[in-house]
Order: sequence, then structure tokens, then C-alpha cells
Amino acid sequence: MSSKLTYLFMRGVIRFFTILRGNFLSFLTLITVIFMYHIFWVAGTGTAGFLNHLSQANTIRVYLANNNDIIAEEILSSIKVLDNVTNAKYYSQKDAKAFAVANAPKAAALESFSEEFFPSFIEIYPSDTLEETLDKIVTEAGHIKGVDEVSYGKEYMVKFKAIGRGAWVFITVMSILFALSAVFVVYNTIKLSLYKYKEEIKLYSLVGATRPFISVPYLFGAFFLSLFAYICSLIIFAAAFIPFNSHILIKAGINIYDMPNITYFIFSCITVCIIGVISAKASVVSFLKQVSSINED
Amino acid sequence: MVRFVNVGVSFIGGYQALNNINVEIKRGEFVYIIGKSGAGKSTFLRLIYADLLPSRGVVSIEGRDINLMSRIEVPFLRRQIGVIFQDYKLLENATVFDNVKLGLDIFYMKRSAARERIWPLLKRMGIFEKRDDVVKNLSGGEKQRVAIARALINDPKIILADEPTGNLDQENAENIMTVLRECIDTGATVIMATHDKLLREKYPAREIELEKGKVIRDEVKNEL
Repeated sequence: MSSKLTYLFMRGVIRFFTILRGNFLSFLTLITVIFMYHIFWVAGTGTAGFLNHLSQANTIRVYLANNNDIIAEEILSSIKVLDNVTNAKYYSQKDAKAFAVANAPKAAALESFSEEFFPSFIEIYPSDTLEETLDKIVTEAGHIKGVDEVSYGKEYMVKFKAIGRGAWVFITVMSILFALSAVFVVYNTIKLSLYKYKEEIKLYSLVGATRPFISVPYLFGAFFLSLFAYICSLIIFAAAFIPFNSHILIKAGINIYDMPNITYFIFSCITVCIIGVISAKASVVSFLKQVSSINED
Repeated sequence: MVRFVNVGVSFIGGYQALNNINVEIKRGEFVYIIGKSGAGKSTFLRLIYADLLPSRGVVSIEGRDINLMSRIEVPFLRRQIGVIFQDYKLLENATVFDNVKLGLDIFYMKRSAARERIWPLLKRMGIFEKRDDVVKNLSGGEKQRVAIARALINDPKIILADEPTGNLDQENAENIMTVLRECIDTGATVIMATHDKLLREKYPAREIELEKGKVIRDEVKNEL
């Protein structure tokens, strides 16, 4: 059994090189499809991750009716004893300006603004970020005397969550489309190769070759084709993405795109190879149906 | 060995290639299938190597109905049958050796082991010196001998020859007949479709004549 498999494996290796020589453009197309998928995946997951981050509220902000520090300290004490509150911190107008400046380093003009333009506030750190918990704190803090407004940006969070969900749906749909593209490319590449060797295949059928004898080398060939295309696409992707991200995107302040982790590469590589083998199988089955007769052109 | 019972073959459009054929061919027989073009000779042979299934009736090879054979069993039937065509059906850009080796590839045989089987056969066929030549550079007679070598490499029980001498001159045709006659001595059954009256007269054997898909004559002459 193993010697048969070795024999078919070696024929598969030969078939792979003949496919590569005979259908190099198809091979390049497959590389392009996988390369585009890498780009799409990084862009899609980076954006979805960013939106997901935006939809997470870690703090609740309490704006005060006036900017009196003594009243603010009393309110702070009342807030700290509320359920689900881990900590709370008071920001005076001066602290509020410093906070704004620290969080917007590119907005240098903020420095020139008077502290009067920065209302004092209390930042609440809840024990968890569940919407229910946050709403409860907002309600309870809103009833404390001297509190003007309590908010954790719920309306924006809902929007970001919806966009984030939409992004994942888009990623899923596009993944299917890319997979289908890979299926068609491999299917047609193998079909072209099969037609090129039509006479040889017919002769093998004539002398008593079994279907696995005819199809398995093509499955190995498609496996190597997919694997090699994946490796090439990965090299091109890494060579393009790493400099682009570090020299252009990050310098432009866009720091949401990362090189995918090893799990992505292993999973996507296995998926591409499986797609390749299944497409090749479908191609061989369809070909053998079309040319079932030996002595007929 | 080969048995046709009420066999009919109809193609799309209603054309009847064979109609109500009843024939039995025994082991070791040499049989000519004769008739004009379109009489059904090739269809008759195609049924034997299961390239075609009968529309009606039963074709059995060594007691096995080809209609009842699964797709997996067909290759194993074909391993017992050597087929020779008028147009050789060789890989023109491959060498003589590689063309004959096709029949051994299916047994996952390595090149060195295949050589031990192929070389003696090529010597017997008189084309040993041409073993590394590309087929497209050979003459018609040489090509046909390569095709016969490929058909014989697995010691088939049945040899089907579809107009094997059709493209050859008289000398080469007689050489081919000599080889096919030798196959009878090894116990093989040879079924040969031919137009060639001269050859039939020189090498008389059972003749099954077809006309418009029907057997109109089944006559045993001086058997080979």
C-alpha cells in the first residue's frame, strides 16, 4: 500500500511540475487570489477589531452641574459606594485640560485653550463592561445631587457594534467568494492539464488503470499547486505588508492593522490545500465522465 | 470465454449499431470479425473491453456479465484484454519503451522491474533497437508492433485487434499476423476486425460477418 502511495505521490510531483509549466498563468492567478485574501483579511479583521474596541466602554463619565471641587469630592464619595463601581476619579478643569491634551497629542492647539473650556468630570471604573451593569451605574449616579449628566457613549457603542457585526458578515461573505475563486482556478487548471493528457489517460483506462491511479496524482498535483501558491502569496504579502504598515500606515497614525498570527496562516494554508484537493477531485470526476469512452474522439 | 446473447446496441438518435447478436467465442480461438465500414465491427470489439455497454442483451466475458460489473471492476477486466487499433493509439512524443510501460505502470512497477518484462517482448517484436526512439519517428509497421507489445505486455487472455493491418503494407501486415498467430499458441483468444481478404485467405480462421449490425455469416474455415 505504501509503495503504491509512494508511486502515486511521485507521479503527483511530476504532474505538479507539468501543471506549473503548462498553466503558469493559472498558478499566478491562484497566487493573486490568495494574496488578495491576505490583504482583505488583514484590512477586514483590523477594522472589525478597531470597531469592536470602540464599542467597549471601560469607563463612565459623570459631568457635574458646577465646577466646585468640594461638591465634586462629595459626589465622588457617593459614587464610590455604588454597586459595581471599582474606582472613580475626579478631574478638575485643570486635570480635564491635561487629560484632553494627553489624549490628543496631535491637537497642539488645545494647549492654548483656557481651562474654562474644559468642564470638570468624574471618571467611573465599573467592575465589568456589561451593558446592564453600565446602565445601572448610569441610573444610580444620575440620581446623585449635583450630577448634570452621566454617559458612557451608549448610542455610539451600539452603532460601532452594528458596524463591527456588519464587518464580520462582510468578511465571511468575502471569504466564501475568495474560496470560490480559488475553487474555480484550481478546477480549471486541473481540467486544462487533464485535457492535455487526455490521450494518455484514455490509454491508461484501456490497459486497466483504476480511477485512483488516474486521479490521485492530480490530487497530489493540486495539493502541491495550492501549497506552493500559498507560500508564494505569503512571501509576497509579507514583503508588501510589513514595510507598508510600518513605513506608511503607522507613521500616518493608523495603527490598527497587524500581521495575522500563526494560527491564521496555518488555518488558511490548510483551507487552501483542502480547497485545491477537493476542486481537483471534482475536476477529475467531471473529466472522466466527459471522456468515458476510450475509442471515441 | 466471450459470449453475446441477443445483444443490441443503439446510439443516440436511434441508430442501431448492433442488433440481436448471438455469438460464442471459445478460449484459444482466432476469430475474424468482418464486414463493410459501419457494419458494427468496432462496436462489437468495444463491448468486449467494456468501452460500451449493450442497450439490450448480455455480453459476458469469462462468465461475467459486463452490464453487472461495477465501475471498479471494469479496469480489472481490461487488464485481461489487450487491444490493438488501426491508428495505433500510441503516445507519439513518448519513447517506445514508455509506451509499452503504460501497461505496467498500472501495477506500480518500477522502471528497472519493467525493463525486465519489456525488453524481451521488444526483442520478440523486432523493435528492441528502437526502444529509446520517440514513436513519432517510427514507421507504420514499427508503430503497430509497439502497439502490439503494449497489448501483450500483461499476457492478456483476450486480444482484440481493430483493423490492425489497415494502415500497413502486405509485408508488415503479415508480420503482424505472425505475432497474433503466436498468441494463440500461448492460449490467448484473438478477435480481429478486418477488411483484408488476402490475409484471411492466407491465414484462414473462423469468420463472423456483420452487416448493418447483424451477423449474416458465422463460418469456421481451416482454423489457425
